[in-house]
Amino acid sequence: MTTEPTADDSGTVASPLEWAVDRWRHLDRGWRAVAVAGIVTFIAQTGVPVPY
Amino acid sequence: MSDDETSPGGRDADATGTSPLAVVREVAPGVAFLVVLAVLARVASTLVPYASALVVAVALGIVLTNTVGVPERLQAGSSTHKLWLEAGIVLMGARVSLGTLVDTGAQLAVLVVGIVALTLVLVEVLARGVFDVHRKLGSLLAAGASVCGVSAAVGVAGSVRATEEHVAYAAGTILLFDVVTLFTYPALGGVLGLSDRVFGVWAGLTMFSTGPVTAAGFAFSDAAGQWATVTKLTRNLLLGVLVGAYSIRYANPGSDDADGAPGEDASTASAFSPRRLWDAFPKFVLGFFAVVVLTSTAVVSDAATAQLTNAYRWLFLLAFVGLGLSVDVADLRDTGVTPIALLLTALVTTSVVALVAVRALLGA
Repeated sequence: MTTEPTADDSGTVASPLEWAVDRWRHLDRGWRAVAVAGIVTFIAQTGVPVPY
Repeated sequence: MSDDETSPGGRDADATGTSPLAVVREVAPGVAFLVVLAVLARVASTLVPYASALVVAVALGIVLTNTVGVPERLQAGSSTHKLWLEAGIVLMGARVSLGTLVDTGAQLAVLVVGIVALTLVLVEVLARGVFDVHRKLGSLLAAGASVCGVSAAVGVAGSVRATEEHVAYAAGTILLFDVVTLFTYPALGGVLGLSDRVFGVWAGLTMFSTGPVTAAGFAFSDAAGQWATVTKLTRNLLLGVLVGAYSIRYANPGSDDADGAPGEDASTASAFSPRRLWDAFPKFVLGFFAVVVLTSTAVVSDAATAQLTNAYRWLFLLAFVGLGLSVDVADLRDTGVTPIALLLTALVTTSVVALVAVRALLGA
């Protein structure tokens, strides 16, 4: 498993953002859901209003 | 509901184009479409008396996709609905008390294991002994009806070495029941005068897929939605065991797997490997329990908990609009009569047994 940005087969080094997007797309959907929930929880803790 | 259920974990393993801009271009329009429809569903539900926003969201999606259709460029984003559902369920943990889970955990576990086992055996027996359905199709229907709908059918497809035709047929039949039960269960619960807890646990034990269970539960009441989701999550935990059990059963040299995928490794030794069980395990359930613990131990403030409640309601609306958009009525029409009769017989039987058992264990 790739743990940090590395050169691909063509020798191009992925940017950290590209690397993160690539990791995200290969992540199990369940972990992605946990990540989304974590981001929402962080935002809620900062007091940003979420009306319904 | 032809979403990203290509594997139990739903990885986009074949995704191409990882440029951040390309990803945004691919997914953002469809997600924005979901947001617009979610807001419409929310507004519509305030205008129609007794209408649940979640049911309106599903209905809006079904009507739109089967009348005007969904443009190709919106489909990648709208098929993300399972992600929003699972993220919403994680956040719903903020409303579930750890004490309640501990108090009812043993009874819930008994009910889940009992009803899952009953459904599994009943569908298998009916498939072979009464309805004469192909063995592999019967196993896919049994997995879907007993554990977690289409996800379970797809999850065990490799274990039983089912053909694509069998998987599509099973998925279509299960989806038909998902749509019908989503609307009939809350009505039936009202007619029977069930309490929030009894209705939620009953729906969570007997309906098929997680999305419709959650929608039906919340259509009944908030408390029923929480009970339904918790019960369904407990059922989903059994997917790994089911995948392993079917691997062992179909690895038997005497089994009729002549039309299975060639070269498939179905050795009994690997059927219950930790890796296999972990792959089938729904990881978002860990997030759900983490949020239950965090909010029950006051790590998350009360104000933030109220915010999280609103956030999960919006995530559910996104999920259910997308769920509705994935329902192709033409596909459902192609479903055969025999599998429908089989699942209907099993559902009626398990629903009656489950209702009696829930009332006996949890009270009226």
